Parts: sequence; C-alpha cells; structure tokens
Amino acid sequence: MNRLDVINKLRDIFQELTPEIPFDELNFQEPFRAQVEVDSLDLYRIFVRIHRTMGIFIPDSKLESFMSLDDLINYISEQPIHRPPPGPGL
Amino acid sequence: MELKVPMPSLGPDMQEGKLMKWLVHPHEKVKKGDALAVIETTKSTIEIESFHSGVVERLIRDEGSVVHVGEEILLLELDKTEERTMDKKVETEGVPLSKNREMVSMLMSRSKKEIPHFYLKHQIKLGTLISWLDEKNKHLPPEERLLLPIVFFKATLLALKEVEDLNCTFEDGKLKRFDSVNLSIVLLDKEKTTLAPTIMNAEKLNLRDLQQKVLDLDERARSGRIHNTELFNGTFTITNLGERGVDEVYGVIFPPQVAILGIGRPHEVNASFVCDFTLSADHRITDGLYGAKFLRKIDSFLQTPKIFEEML
Repeated sequence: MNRLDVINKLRDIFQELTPEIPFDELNFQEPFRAQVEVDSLDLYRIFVRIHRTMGIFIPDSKLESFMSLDDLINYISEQPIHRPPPGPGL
Repeated sequence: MELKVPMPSLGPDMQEGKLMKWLVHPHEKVKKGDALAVIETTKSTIEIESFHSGVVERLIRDEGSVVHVGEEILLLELDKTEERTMDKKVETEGVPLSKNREMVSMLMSRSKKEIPHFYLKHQIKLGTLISWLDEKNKHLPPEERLLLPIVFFKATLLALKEVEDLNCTFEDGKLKRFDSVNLSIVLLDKEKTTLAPTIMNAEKLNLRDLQQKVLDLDERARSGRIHNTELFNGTFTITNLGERGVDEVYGVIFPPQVAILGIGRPHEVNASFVCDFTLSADHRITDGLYGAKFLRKIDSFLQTPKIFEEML
C-alpha cells in the first residue's frame, strides 16, 4: 500500500473513531502521544479498524516503536496485506 | 462579605443528609479546614470542614434537620484576607466544579484525611506475555483482539484470591471481607474527570467477557451514561491511567475500599518490555508484607500466560 493510501485510510479511521483529534493538524514527525491524549482502549479501537480495513495486524510488541504517526504509516506501508479473519457478524 | 455554606454532596448518589450535630457556634471564629458539623448520609457519618476562614454568622438549620444537597446550612462572614481571595477567585476562576469533579474532590479529600496510605512498586517484565498475546491476536478476527490491560486485570483478580485483606472495605471501624471481587476501574468521563464504575463479581468473568464489560464501561463513561448505581459497591480498584504517558501511577484509595492498584505505561528498559505496578493500601488494615506478596503474585501469573488459555 502506498503512503498516500495509508494516510487517507488513517484519516478516515481517526475521523470516525476520534473526531476530536484533528488528524490533518497533527505533526507526523512529532511524538504522537505528546500531541493527543489516547489510552490503550483508543489504540485498540484504532488498531482493530486498521486490521479490518487495511488487513494489517499491528502486534503489541511493536507499539513502543510507534512514536510518531510517520512510524505507524511507514510500518503499515511496508507490510504485506492479509485478509483478516472474518469478525462477528461479517 | 457573607458566604452561604451549602450541604455538600458526599457521594454521587447523595440527595440529602441529616445534620446530626453542629461543631461550631454563632460568633465563633473558624479557620479553613476546621470541622463545621457532623452529617449522616445513608452510607456513613462524616464531619464536614470549612473551605474558608471567617466568623460564623448564623446556623441556618437546626440539629436533626434533613437537608437537601445544595441547600444552605450556615452563614459565614469571611475574614478580610479571605474576602479579597474570594473576589479575586470570582474574577479569575469563578467556575463551579462539575458534579463529578465535586464528588471526586470530596472522596479523595476524605481518603487522604482518614486513610494512612502506604505505597509499593514492582516492575514486571512483559516479554513472555506480549509474545503470547501477539501469537493469539494475529489469528483472531480484529474485533476479538485481546487487550494487554485486560490480561493485567485478570492476573490482578487471580492474585486477590490468594492474598487476604486487600479485597475488602473498612467503614465505621468494621472490616468486611468479600469472596467476590467488585472491581472498580478508573476511567475518564466526557469532561476528562476520573470516575470508577464497578464490574460486579469480576473474578467470575473470562477474559472476553471482562474485556467486553471494560469497553462498554469506557464507552458509557465517555458519553456520560454511567449509572450512579455503578459507582458503588466496589471492593478493589485498578487505575491504569498511567498508560496515558507516565511510567508509574500511585492511586488514592476510594473509601471505604482499602487498596488500589496502579498500572503504568508499558515501556522498554534495556530492550525488554516492562511495566510498573504500584499498590496503595490502607496501613490500618494491611501491611507491606501482604502488599509485596500481592504484587509478586500478579508478576508470577503474567510470567506464565498459558494459564490464561483456559480463561479466554
């Protein structure tokens, strides 16, 4: 997936799940958590949606390495896409 | 300047209180922090204190009266210094506390005043647990992803079974021990004020049901849909607000409970994932020895994640 596609999909996810976070005003290079208040439940909801819509599973062991949005975008861009297992009701 | 002192809210479901006894008299000088009266609620008897210094002008309500929260009970003539401070406050920050903030303020003040807290910290290595969790989650549908904090909560529930006098309440000089854990989880409401709704009999839930309950409470907390009845009957509290950016969080005990577990942000130390678990406990009821045993128990459960296989 190219970088622009990833950014567009992330924008949609953030707008839906965390509309209070102005995605386009975030600095992609700065530490993410210094710019917005999120906890593990917010991240859970975001990662579930990334897995569902982009087919990219983000393991807990990688969480600490995502300091900025760029880190996340780069990680997603580099991953092969796998169709996620069907979820409840899908 | 006169100030009308209202009947305070001493809990989220308190509608009224009985004015049992005045502890001040008309024309008596009071300082900030002095006890004003004894109030009886449906749950306990509490001394309320003055937030200001001045002279008691008039006792508006008689002893024995049942007074609604917010109704005036006492008239205070503020001293001059206090008056100037009040004027300044009105100009610069004359915003009343929200209902929930007021409740937290009251509970936490009571806790710090009445409970001799002691604190312990234990750093837990998470490498084995996170490898197990990654392996589990990558084969699950995204919506069934198991959250790291939920495993922490489950390990805590298991440890509470093995260490006595942490899952209990202490009120009016009486200790109540509980077989079941009514687990209060510290969350943020829509105004970003903490509240701690309770999951009843949490130890009976498997990991998925526990996660579902926590996610449901979190969503309802954020949208202001937590019922007052869910804010009571907790027997033990966990706060993992530390994950919002700090390595350690030392909680203040929610009375009449006797302990609170704080979970910090998982972070890397020497290329290993670790997390700092802290315990704040009531030294009237328990000792550091038991607190240490409790934290070590949580650690041992988290080092053997296979035990959670049968609790999925």
